[in-house]
Amino acid sequence: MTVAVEYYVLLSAALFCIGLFGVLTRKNALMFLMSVEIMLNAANINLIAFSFYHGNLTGQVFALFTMALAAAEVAIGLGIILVLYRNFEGIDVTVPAAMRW
Amino acid sequence: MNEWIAIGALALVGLLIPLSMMAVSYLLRPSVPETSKRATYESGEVPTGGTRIRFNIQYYMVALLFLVFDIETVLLFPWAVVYRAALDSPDISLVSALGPMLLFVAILLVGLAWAWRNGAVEWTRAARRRTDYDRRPIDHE
Amino acid sequence: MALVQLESWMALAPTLLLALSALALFVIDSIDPDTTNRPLLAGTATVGSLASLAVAVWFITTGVGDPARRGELALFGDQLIVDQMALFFMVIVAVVTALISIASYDYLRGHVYQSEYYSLVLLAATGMSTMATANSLVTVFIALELASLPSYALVSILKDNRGSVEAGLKYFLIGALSSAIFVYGISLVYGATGHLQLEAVAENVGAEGFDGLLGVGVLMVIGGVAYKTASVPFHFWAPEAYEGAPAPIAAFLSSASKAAGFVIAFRIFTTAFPLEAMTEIGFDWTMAFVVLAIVTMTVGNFAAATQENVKRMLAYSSVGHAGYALIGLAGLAVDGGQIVLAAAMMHLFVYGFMNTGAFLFVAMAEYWGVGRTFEDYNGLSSQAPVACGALAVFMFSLAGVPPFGGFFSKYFLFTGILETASGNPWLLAVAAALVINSALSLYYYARLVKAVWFEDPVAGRGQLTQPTGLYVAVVLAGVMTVLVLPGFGPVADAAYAAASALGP
Repeated sequence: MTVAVEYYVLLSAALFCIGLFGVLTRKNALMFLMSVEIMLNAANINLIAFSFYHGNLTGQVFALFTMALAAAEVAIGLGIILVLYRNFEGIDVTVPAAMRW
Repeated sequence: MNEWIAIGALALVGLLIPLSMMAVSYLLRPSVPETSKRATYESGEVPTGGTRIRFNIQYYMVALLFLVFDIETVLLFPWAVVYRAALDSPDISLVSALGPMLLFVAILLVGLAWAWRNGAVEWTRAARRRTDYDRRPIDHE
Repeated sequence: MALVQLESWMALAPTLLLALSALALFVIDSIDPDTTNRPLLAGTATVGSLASLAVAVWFITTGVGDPARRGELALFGDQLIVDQMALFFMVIVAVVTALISIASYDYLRGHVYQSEYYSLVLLAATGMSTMATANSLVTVFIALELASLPSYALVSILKDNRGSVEAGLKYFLIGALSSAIFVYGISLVYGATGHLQLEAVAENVGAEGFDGLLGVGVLMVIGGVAYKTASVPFHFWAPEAYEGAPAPIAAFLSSASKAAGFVIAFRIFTTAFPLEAMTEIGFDWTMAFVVLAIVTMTVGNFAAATQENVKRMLAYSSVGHAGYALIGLAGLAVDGGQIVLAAAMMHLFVYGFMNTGAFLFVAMAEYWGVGRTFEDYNGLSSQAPVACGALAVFMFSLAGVPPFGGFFSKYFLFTGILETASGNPWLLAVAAALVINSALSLYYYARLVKAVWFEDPVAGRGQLTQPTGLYVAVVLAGVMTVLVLPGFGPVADAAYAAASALGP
């Protein structure tokens, strides 16, 4: 007995939307980073569920790569947040606004 | 008829047991309110300061290094899965099965050596290059 | 017949050389972490990128990737492909990287993180070069991240400069968001087709019956591409990142990074989502690109016209040029449209020189410390006539004034659209937008030339030094922008060959 692939897509879509909501509403840079991680993991759920559904391993391997890249992205992101903290005494992403579009 | 019923029953029992125990103890125990019972350490130690203290930045450096290298090892898994089969296959030589992964690890080692030499894993704060950092007159208003 | 027979993986030599020089820089920095031996570091980066350029040009002349001569080389189970388009864009990336490395020699004087800077530049260039060869959504994504992650660090490398940090933060935030959207789109495409390799995706479009998922996935992939090429709706980062970043990095991002973004767009949409099959399931993506092209070029040019800050003006103009290059995808049709695609590639090639040159002039102005607005640039020509002459070439070429390279690529774009417009009347609107925006862009480009050449010099400006590296880079870019004129034949041929080999 297996769970139909549609439910996985629903789960991942829900996670993606939660992440997107976090990105759009949070001011804290770390919360932003976590929200992006949720979005990336939503994609991973999709990849693995469809990998199972289609019966090939491509999706699973790509999910491993996505995880590695997510870690690298977090490393860079934390570095930038650190210099943000040093320059602006806080990690509110709405504070640095000297340049406006 | 449906194997989910067993799981549902287990979940139900798992919820009922702690809830009923809490209910029974609530009914049986005597109620003696006392302020010292609400202290963090009932033994008498008075806690001071907040829990949010700032950690040394070195933790952050080590954590970052760990994060990156830890996740990179994930990429060894797909290789490890096929390695034995690749060795048994007559078409694939040892070099072409092992070589790419050795190259991958070698590149990681270059990165690690660089981080080491630049003081990322020194526990005491290294006297990092702190010269006149950016002396070009770029004034971002 | 070449003199030597090379292994097929050697076709990646232009990319590998960039990666090797990056590693070499890491090794140099490991041996002596406190080195400020600028000639050695800048020299390694320059030599590496020039070697990459030379090998790529050599491959093109010996016919690597030409289906009629040595054939396209698919490597690692079709995950990477070296064809004419890949080599064409490898050349662009290598040229821009070389110019940046030369110019950074002076720009980075007194900077602490020398070797880190150059190795990050080369790693980003490796990513962009790999993007040109990526033939699977996996490699596309990995290469894109390899190009993006060092760029985030490079934009905010002036760690004590609030503008640089702010720019890096915004670039990173929007980049992380869009890469999440991109990878989610890829996962949906994978779900709908069961494959990630581009040709396999194309074969399975509509085969599995998840057409809705595929449509959403393609839209999200467009979003990811739009971020990398700084097109609407993900263009917000561009003015911020370019303004705050060190000027050579702004040049790098706006030329090489943009070209790399376009090469994956070209390859994904021509190979993985063939128009025929996509129209069958009711998703004609050319319309999306028609809208994106018109909106992007209009937003970019109108915003550029209102800027007072030169670097910001150039940033918005680069958004506008992304709109011009998007025409290449908007003009594709089931039968034909390669002319427009080739014209877009040519435009990106010329743009690589003229835009890099323009940003490097800004880098020189920052080096001199003359200021940031148009008024601050007044009368620079009396003190630095050569550089200002080059600047005039860049500006008129960017605007598309006849005797310069930018005119020819725009002219080919325009005639190409008119030729294919019979199949898609919306393209007439694109053509009209192209003409109107080019006319508008002449206004603000000419404004900078006027400030530099015809206004009276600002009083009290000190003697201007002559930074060798920056001068060499600016003059080289200028010479190349002019030399593209007689050399336009080969470039156009290469672009046409690349575009027609790709096929829609």
